[in-house]
Amino acid sequence: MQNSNFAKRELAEDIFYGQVVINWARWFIVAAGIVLILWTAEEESLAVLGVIPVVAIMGINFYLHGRLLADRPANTALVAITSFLDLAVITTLVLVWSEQNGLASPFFILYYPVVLAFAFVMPPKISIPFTVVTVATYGAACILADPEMLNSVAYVKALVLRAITLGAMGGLAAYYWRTESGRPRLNVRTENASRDETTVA
Amino acid sequence: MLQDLIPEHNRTVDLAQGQLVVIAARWVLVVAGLLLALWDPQGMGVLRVQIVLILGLAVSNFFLQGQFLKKRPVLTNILYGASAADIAVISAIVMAQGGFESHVYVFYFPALLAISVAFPPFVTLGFAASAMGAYGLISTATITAGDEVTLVARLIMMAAVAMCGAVYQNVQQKRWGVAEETQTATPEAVVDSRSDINGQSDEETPRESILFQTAEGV
Repeated sequence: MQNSNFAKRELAEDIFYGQVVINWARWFIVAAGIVLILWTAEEESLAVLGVIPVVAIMGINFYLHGRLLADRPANTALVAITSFLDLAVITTLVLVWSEQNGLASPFFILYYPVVLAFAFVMPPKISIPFTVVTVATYGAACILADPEMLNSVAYVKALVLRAITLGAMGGLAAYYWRTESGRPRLNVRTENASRDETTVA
Repeated sequence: MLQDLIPEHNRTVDLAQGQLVVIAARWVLVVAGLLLALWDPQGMGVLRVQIVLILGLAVSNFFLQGQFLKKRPVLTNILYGASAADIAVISAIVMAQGGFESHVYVFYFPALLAISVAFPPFVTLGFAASAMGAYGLISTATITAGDEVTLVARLIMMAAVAMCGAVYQNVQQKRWGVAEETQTATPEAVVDSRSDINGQSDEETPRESILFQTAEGV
């Protein structure tokens, strides 16, 4: 019972203190997204269409970062939902943006900070499936955009390389999360709790 | 907001914690790099460069792994040198594969992630600037017209990864520091000290109650 309370508290603390990393990651995504869209769009209408999802991400981040600054941080569900929204927006851009879509899309690099920040904040049981879903979604988007790519060894090799590094980002961040959560502080808390429990009893 | 990046002057970064991530990231680089080098090689010259560099990294990483397994103290300068070697090896392979056209630049991301959680923010800044500078120079020399925007976006993402790691490490350092102080402090002092972790003061709402609201999904 006591351990379960501590686990809950640890999770709450990770999200409470860590979500600023997700906010920072999203600001970089907005910056890179705007650069890519405004300078690769060949028509005004395309630029306008492309800017809309980035402005949506920006709006979400204003809301979440503002909440954090006002001491009303987002909870686990909201953090997860907004990260999945990021994933959906990036995948849409990879799939449909301009002529450079699928494996040729330069937008895939936006996945890296999303996966990294999410894995820093969420426990591995949530972040690892998120990483797997991201890699699978990107792979599916590439194949969907150009099924012929599977016939080219060079393309498949590039996709595997990206999948490995994207997976490594999620895996390494989750690994660091685990080493951090295993630090002595937990023992100190547990010892303190046992002491308090004994005193109350 | 920038306080997220500024470490407190009396706190040091725990290199032993980050060292594990650096070692793990380098094993990823070695295994994936070797696999991709041997799969459909791009000519004998490139293959030689790749294999020599990757095996060199593997040997140096084995040395660091051995130090860790023997529970020897962290050799800070060797750790810095090995991380610089990671950046140099990735840059050399990118250059050998044609610069901007090479797909290998994505290895910068896990390398910068490991560096950013292992070292203090100003060291991370140095490594990130070096990596971005090296990749920027290599790419500028080999880029075709129209791809400059893609290069800028890649450089922004390299900065993003380094920044996220540094911010997270800084938040964690402050958090652990507060936890250590908690052992001797009164409950009131604990609540007050926790309010400074994200660089905000909060005299009206106890941070502990907000924390539990977050846990309960309010």
